[in-house]
Amino acid sequence: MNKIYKKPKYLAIFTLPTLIAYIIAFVVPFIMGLYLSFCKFKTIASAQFVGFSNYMTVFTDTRGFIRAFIFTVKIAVVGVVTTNIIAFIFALLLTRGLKGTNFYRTIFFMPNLIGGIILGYIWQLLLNGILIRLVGVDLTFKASYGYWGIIILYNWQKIGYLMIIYIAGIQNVPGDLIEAAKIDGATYMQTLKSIILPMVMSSITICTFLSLTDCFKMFDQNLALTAGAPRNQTTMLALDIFETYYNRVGFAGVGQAKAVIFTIIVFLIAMIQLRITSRKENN
Amino acid sequence: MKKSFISITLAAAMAATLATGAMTVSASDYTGTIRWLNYKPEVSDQMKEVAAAYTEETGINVEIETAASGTYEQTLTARMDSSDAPVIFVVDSVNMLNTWKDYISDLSGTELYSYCSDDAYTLNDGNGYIYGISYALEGWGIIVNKAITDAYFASPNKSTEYTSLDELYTFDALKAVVEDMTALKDELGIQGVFGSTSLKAGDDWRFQTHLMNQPLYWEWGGNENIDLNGKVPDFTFQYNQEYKNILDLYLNNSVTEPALVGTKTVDDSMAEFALGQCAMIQNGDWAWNTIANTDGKAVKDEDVCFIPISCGVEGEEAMGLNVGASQYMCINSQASEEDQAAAADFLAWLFSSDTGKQLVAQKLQFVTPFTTMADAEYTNPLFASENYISSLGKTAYCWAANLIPDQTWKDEMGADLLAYAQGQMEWDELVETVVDVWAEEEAITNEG
Amino acid sequence: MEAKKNMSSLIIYIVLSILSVLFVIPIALVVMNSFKNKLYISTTPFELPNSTSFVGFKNYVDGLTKIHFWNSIGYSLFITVCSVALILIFCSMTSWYITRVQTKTTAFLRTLFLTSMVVPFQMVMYTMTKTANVLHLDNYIGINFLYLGFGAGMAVFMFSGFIKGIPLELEEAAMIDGCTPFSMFVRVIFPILKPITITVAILDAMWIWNDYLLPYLVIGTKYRTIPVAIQYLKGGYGSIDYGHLMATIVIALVPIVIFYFACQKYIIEGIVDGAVKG
Repeated sequence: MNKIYKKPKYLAIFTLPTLIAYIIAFVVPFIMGLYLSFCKFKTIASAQFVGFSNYMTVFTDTRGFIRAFIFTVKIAVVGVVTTNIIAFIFALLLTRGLKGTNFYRTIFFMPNLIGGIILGYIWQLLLNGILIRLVGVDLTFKASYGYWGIIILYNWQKIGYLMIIYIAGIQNVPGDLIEAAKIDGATYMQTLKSIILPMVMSSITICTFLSLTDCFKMFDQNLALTAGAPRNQTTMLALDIFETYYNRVGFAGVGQAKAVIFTIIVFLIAMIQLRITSRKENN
Repeated sequence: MKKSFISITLAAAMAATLATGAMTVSASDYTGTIRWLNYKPEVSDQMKEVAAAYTEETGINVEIETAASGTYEQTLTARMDSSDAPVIFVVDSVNMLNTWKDYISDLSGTELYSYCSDDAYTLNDGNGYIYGISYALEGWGIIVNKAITDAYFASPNKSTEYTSLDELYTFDALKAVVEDMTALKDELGIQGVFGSTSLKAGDDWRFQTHLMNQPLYWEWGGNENIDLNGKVPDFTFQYNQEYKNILDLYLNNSVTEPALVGTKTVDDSMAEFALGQCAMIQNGDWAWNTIANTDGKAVKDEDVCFIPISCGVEGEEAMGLNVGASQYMCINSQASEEDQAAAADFLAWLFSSDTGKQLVAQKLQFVTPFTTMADAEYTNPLFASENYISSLGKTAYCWAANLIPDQTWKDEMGADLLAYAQGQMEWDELVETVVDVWAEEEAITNEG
Repeated sequence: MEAKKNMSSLIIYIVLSILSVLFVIPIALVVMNSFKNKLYISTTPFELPNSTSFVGFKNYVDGLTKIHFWNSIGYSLFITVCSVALILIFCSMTSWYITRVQTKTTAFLRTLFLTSMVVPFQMVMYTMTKTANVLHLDNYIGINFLYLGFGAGMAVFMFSGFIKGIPLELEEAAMIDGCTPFSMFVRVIFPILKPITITVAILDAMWIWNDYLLPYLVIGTKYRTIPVAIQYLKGGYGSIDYGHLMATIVIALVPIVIFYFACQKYIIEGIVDGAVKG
């Protein structure tokens, strides 16, 4: 039957619509973007090739990309650790066979459906309100306020999501294993350490990388909550690229160069993840 | 606004003859769309009414697009590179003009230009090439609720000898009165003398641009020495202490604690003024709409007036308001001939037909440099106040802030001012930073 | 023993309940403030509305009319529904073909589609916006086509994984009955794909409904979807009006909450599926 399928007609019917859309939306822009990162331009028609000078600007401007990169790494490290630990604890609480846990699951998961822009403004209201009450200042006062604001917002948004994945992982642990441990007189902590944790390692890998890429690509939340205040000290990578591109006349090429570097970073993270996952599967 | 009577009448007469000759507005078969990228978000709805009125009268479609505040050039960059680029757009300074020169057609042959009373209200190359024509002459200073200041001047408890707004033309006088008013704020029924110093990002333009006019004007040597059609001059912030004088006065005698100014928007500040919670607010005549439309407005129309901004520079008692044209209409030279012609017809209609003039005066409330608009009637009480101040023989500051290199500098200045207000940045550090950033941006802008 | 167990259950319930309250407070706060005058929101959000600050539904009425929020809801709905439909139809077809027919071409296509999954949007935001403009895709109809292109990577990946697990016999039987490949796909394969179709539909619907940057850049000046309209409140009308902001946020949350409670089971399953496979 493969022969009939292989007719060009069927290749066209089945793949062309997707392929054309993909080429227009992604392939062509990607190649153009790569080229433009080596150009100085105001409009595409007037692009002039300038070699690596855009990239030089990216790395010599310490107030821009490099600062945003460091800030993003800081967000990612703390964001990944806190969301995963809290989500895992939530998952443990909800898998102890108690009745009515579905209700809590529903509540915890809900923020995940709300878009980043809306989330940003919700939390701006709440955090400013708290800060004004307690300290008499607002989020723009110190970079560390904005930093923890983003962390808290991110936790609120993602905990429910990661929790669901952990719950699925924990539920896959065979019940008789846990029963057997109980009969052997193991405490809950011992069971957790020697049975549950090893069995959910794959969930942990998934969740870690999910939250890691998420943090690196974060844009909407950053834009709505702090928009970089104070003085661009809370600008993350994606926002920094956007600002360079659209808010500085004459810097579009530099913005595109930043985007290429950003792409390489995200790509590397994905490759590391692939490595780790496939090594696991081979074992 | 400050042009002689003779020149107005002369120009009006000339325009009238020209107009009768040229007023053969063809019921054209133009089927395109005139796109206008609007600079002023505060009149975005009113601009749409204008567009609808023109469509109703001529059948020609006009589309208004409005850029969010602080993002005009960003939006223009994006739109120009698209297939439905604007036909009419706005440049706000010579620097912006230099960036967009390739997209600007010569307006010298248009009907609109024939209405313009003086070349000072245009951007031109000095040889008759007209890049843009201003559509709004704006004045700004400190808006005052006279009912409150009068109550102060009449108070038996005051400890200054000033008795009228006309005496507040020096910083020392202003400061003495403001601080004494703060001491008496309960008696006066206000929460602070000044409305909030809105330094939220995007709402900080009253300070990073408008208030900068004072130090820039003095540093560059006044009206005679500032070339508004020239390159960005060097900037050392020579008058930074004077700037700090007035800024501190705003911050320390305000409705809002200095640490909280980052949460305040221009809208908040104007609402405080309209509700009578404060007596003074730095802003321009364009703010009248916002004041007038505030729910629960307590300030009376006839009590709203201007006093000039003073900051402690010698000779400033002879100065009046900041006045100038900062936004110039341009026609996109890359648009088709028909589009350009249609746009020119539309603009001529807007500033000379009865319907158009009425909309400009009543809805948009622009004071224009066009002779055709000489008989327009305005409801804005701030215009009367402007005339009063110039009748005292005070010189207006030119719009030196037009020579600020770019939005990047303004954003930096705004963010630094916020950090200073919150006590997170020393004044000297601020001065050093903004001077450095100016040098960088000046090089980028002048290099073109 | 029993008592101890009950005790610990009780503690867990209390902890969970406190946590749930923490999760709901931010939203409740926004709802409360949406009934207050704009001057009483940004600095004193915890104060309950009182006789001076309460404005009833004014923020809702004004906010909706001023920023034409009904239009935004319409655009968001239209774009989400159309884009998801396009992605489901075309990507399931493509995935089935490139999984079943193993040639160099299909292997290449597969790798090509997967590339976009690891490329952040910023890489193509400018050039894609320009391409869309040149091809006149910068309207609420054309944008669906862009979403098809952007969603292809993830959708092809998910569908292909599922299709690998479908036994070949089914298709062979259908082919013997004389079906063309196309009608065979429609009648036999597509119904089998139902579970994965739901997953992809939910993941993409959530992404497109909440997406900000793509619609902002491509159609943002003319057709504002909900997130774009909310962000535009900041600066688009001269100065942000917190009353309008609160009211529009509440209205934007309503469809999400309804959708969530209506298809909760599918949503949660879909998410797990998406995460584990993706």
